[in-house]
Amino acid sequence: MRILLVGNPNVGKSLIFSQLTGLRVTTSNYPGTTVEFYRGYLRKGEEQHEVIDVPGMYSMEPNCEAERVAVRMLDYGDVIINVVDATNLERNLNLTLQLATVQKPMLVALNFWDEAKQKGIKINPEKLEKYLGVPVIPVTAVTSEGLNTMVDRLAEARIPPFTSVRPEERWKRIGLIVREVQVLTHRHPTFLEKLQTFSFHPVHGFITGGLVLLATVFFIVYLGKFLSDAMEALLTRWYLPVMQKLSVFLGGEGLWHEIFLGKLVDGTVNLEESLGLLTTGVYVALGVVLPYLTIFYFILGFLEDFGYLPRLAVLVDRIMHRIGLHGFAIVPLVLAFGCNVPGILALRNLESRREKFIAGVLMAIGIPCMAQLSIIMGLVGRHGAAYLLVILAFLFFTWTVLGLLGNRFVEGYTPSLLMEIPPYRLPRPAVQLKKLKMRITSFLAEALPFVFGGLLLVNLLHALGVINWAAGLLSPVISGLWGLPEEVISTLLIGFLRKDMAVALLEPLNLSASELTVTTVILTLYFPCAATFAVFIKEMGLMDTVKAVGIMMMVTLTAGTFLNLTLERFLSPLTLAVVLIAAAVVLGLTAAEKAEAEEFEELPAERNSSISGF
Amino acid sequence: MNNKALVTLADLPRGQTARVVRIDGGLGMRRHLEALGIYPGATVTKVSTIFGRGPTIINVAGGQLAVGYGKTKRIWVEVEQG
Repeated sequence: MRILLVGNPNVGKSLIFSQLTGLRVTTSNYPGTTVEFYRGYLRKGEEQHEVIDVPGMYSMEPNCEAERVAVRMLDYGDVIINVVDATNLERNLNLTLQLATVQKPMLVALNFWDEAKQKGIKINPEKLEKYLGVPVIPVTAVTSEGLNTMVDRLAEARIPPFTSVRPEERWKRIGLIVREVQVLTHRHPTFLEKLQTFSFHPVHGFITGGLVLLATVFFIVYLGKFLSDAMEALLTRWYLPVMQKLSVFLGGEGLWHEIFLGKLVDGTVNLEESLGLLTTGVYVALGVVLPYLTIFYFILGFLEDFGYLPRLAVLVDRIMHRIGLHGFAIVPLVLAFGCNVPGILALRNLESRREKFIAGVLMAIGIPCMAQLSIIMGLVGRHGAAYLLVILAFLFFTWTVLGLLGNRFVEGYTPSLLMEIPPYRLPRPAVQLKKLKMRITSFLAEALPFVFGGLLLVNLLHALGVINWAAGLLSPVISGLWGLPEEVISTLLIGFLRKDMAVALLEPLNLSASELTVTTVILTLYFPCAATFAVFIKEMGLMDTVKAVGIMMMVTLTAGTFLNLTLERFLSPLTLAVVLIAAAVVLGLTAAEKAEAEEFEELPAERNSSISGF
Repeated sequence: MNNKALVTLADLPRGQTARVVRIDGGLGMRRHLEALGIYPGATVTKVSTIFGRGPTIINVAGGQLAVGYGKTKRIWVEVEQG
């Protein structure tokens, strides 16, 4: 039997899925966390049922890619479990009544049962059951309460007796049902509810938003550095001696030594500069990237589950319209700071192809992932914060200019924002830890092979002479336009695979501070890493990918040359950073009004685009 | 009808409750709004607005929504008595 978990976005389908199947999928407190379907198995006595976590949808008429996936999957199931948010019965029943027209056995899970009670919302499940003609089971997904009853009553699932009606008629019916089954008791607003109102205050909201961002940056930079230093000390104390012994054992040279331990630096192996799989590979992944990434995902996880991201989307909506996006696009962009891959996938929540393209290009070009950023902070930070600032300022500038150009020239429409604002919820530590663990595990499982593979490849290409050949070929660009030594070519090659490793490879090259800055910016801009590139093609299609790559090439050539000509020749890093930020802000402010006047609201009725899966 | 003022959601004062009367938009936009509970006949309460052309926050169908400026200019509501 195939069981589909269907419901509005952000009603807890993924958490129920995790509880039923024991599989971990990301859950958050904002609509659109799940954009793909997930499949798992539920054991019930002797039987085994397939359970599918379907992306959330508001109606049977899809408004974005994620909803399109959801609607298409309805045909696939044998039983539908319609997950309903008990704290928001009215809007949720809108989908329930539409699902009735699918004519499949259905039951309703009233999730957030405990929260509804706390909020003074009393729903009579037996009465609701009578009105809907299908079993209604109150559940609380976080504590698993009611889930067993739900599974036991699966056999009672029935085809609902409703027929398709016009929207106004449907809402009228919903109104009648809600009035019959639900009683609201008045009570004073809780602290969280007061905070909710506060976040949208025109002044306080922005101040809070700014503080949240500042705090995030502060935690990542300082706590990340602290953890990273601790990790480095551990590795140097316990791990390095083992590698040094191994090096002596292997005789200090030879093919195996070269691949696993790398080159000798001052007569011994070195974690940062030897470039072997077990030396630099392990050091980069565990000593630098892992600590920063953990902090980032810890904070992101909290903000996600608390429900802050939709508020952030509201605050930045106006600014985002200037670059052809709307507020909700901030969510994929924030995710991209962790890793571009989930960022690109989350673009499925955006309605139009134009938005997806602009956001995708901005993400792939201008948002370095946390892994890459952590190495940049470690490496460039040694030369002073001004160089770090100039890198970020330059990315911000590129980002703004590209966004403004995209808004101007990319065809299509950007609808204005329409988004559900979930209530603030206190994150549960257990759920938080599991999510963090899942994200870290997936980094280790997916990134490590690329880190090692990349190092292996670069060592091989060196041995085969390919790198020298490519260096000669590209020397007019690298030395001529960018003013960099030819050796950086190897980092550009490995950057196709993994950006963090590519930046780490700059360490033994002994570049000057400004050379390091230029190379880092080029490494960020020129091409996404292999994993991102693959997802980009899958989500955007070949044509848009070709266009995006063209844009990347042009941006990289211009950016590298510009930085080479200005940084330290005319302007100090700090001055350049200030100039770039000021220029971006001025450009953004002056270009705004025209773009907004052209905002186009008509959504084409139906767009057929192919997606993989079903 | 006479003594009731027809305004757009963008111009509705904060804290006011009103009934949606008309939505000037294409099928796609109306459908999207309807899916979230904004349709002619629905009751909405304006919670707040981000200044200028920012989104409007409304309570509708038991939940809270953020509606972009472009859309709020096309949603006509009539203020209920009081």
